[in-house]
Amino acid sequence: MTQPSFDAAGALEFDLARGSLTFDGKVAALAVPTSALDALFKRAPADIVEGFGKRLGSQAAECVRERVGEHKLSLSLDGVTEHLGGAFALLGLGNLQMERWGKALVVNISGIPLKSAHVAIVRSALESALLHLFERTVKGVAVSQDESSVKLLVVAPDVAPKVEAWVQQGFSWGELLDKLHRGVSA
Amino acid sequence: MSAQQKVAALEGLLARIQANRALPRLPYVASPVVPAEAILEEAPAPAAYVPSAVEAAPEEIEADDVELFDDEIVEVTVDSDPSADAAPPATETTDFELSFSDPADAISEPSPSEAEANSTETDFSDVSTALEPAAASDAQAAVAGAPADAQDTIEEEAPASSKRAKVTPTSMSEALAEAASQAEREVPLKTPPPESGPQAASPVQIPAAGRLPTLPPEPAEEQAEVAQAPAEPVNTAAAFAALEPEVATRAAADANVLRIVGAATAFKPKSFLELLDATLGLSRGE
Repeated sequence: MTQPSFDAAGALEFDLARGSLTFDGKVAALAVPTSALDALFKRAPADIVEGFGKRLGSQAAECVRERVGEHKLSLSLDGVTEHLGGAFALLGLGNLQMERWGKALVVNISGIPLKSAHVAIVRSALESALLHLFERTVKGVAVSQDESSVKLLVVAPDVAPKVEAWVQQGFSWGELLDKLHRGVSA
Repeated sequence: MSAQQKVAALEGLLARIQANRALPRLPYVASPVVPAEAILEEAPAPAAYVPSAVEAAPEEIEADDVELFDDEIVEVTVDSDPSADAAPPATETTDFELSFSDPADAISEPSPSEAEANSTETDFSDVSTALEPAAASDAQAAVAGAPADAQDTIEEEAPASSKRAKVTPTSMSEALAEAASQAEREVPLKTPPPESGPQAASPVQIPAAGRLPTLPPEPAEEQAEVAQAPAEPVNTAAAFAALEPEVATRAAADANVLRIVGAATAFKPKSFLELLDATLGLSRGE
């Protein structure tokens, strides 16, 4: 079954007469340079940064829901990657790609324009988007990152602290996957 | 010797020369005589030709033989050769006289036999060696009873077959320098054999695994220096045991990857929601 591609037509409407910008003509938006956000997030508390990211994630989920409707539950991995990735790109959060390692879901986001708290913002956005789309509370654990990209391992919220400890202990990517799958019946 | 004695000696020499000149000449029988005119026409003498000292004028001989002494003059008595005493044939005598009296005969050098036979000319030639050509001196040296100087000159000449030139020092300083250089060259260059002599090679032993070969005992002084240094025991077995092969670690990682890949192949979720539920159930079984 082929998945419909993300349609970005009309996603952003510029009303130059009013001087307004909206998502899909409904939600007011603001085009803000990343330098202004970086200056803001550099001194912002963690909960403020996570709240900002959650707002972005909910908007991304609303964008997908507008285009998929009730078929969201039947979307495959590629379909979710296509639409959720499109919504992240529309918000300017970067390039989203999803991978499956056994039963583990891994999300790679690259090209993040933010310089300050970029990992926390995209992680919160992803968690919020998955919650709004599929009503599942998940937690993204950054297993690797750099100044413009991050690799997130999606796990249950109660497992996240354990996986974060493994990452801090320096386990390799293969060892993390092995530990995650250990004790789980096929 | 005073000047008067020299003059007397010279006068005596001149008298003998004049007396010898009156003696009959030996016949010239070496080769048929070629007319002088023919020689001059066919092969003219070179312009730089210098007449031989044998044919020098008597005045020059006297001027050059001033330093002649009586004891240095050797009178060579010509043995009475029957052939020489006998009267030569008329034709040969005529030819000889013609060739001798002819001025062109000056360009023809006398043969050794002739020089040997003309003993009167060799009497004074030994004292004027510098003025005579080499052929004349050789002929005189061949004569028995030649002066010692002439014999020394012959002996000092390098043999014709020798390829090495005989270097004769010209002064005492050069001779001393040469002797010193020869003394330096005579220093033996061979190193003497070691006093200890040849040493027998020790048998080679292959050490056991994990053990170092035992070293030969060191002298007492070196052992004292080693004792002062901080002791660092070397346990090679422990060191090897602490090392893990890097290949084994990679093999375990590869096994994990294969295991995960196998699980990923077996698990095929139909939807993203199924995958999301599976990933949320990871690591909860421990």
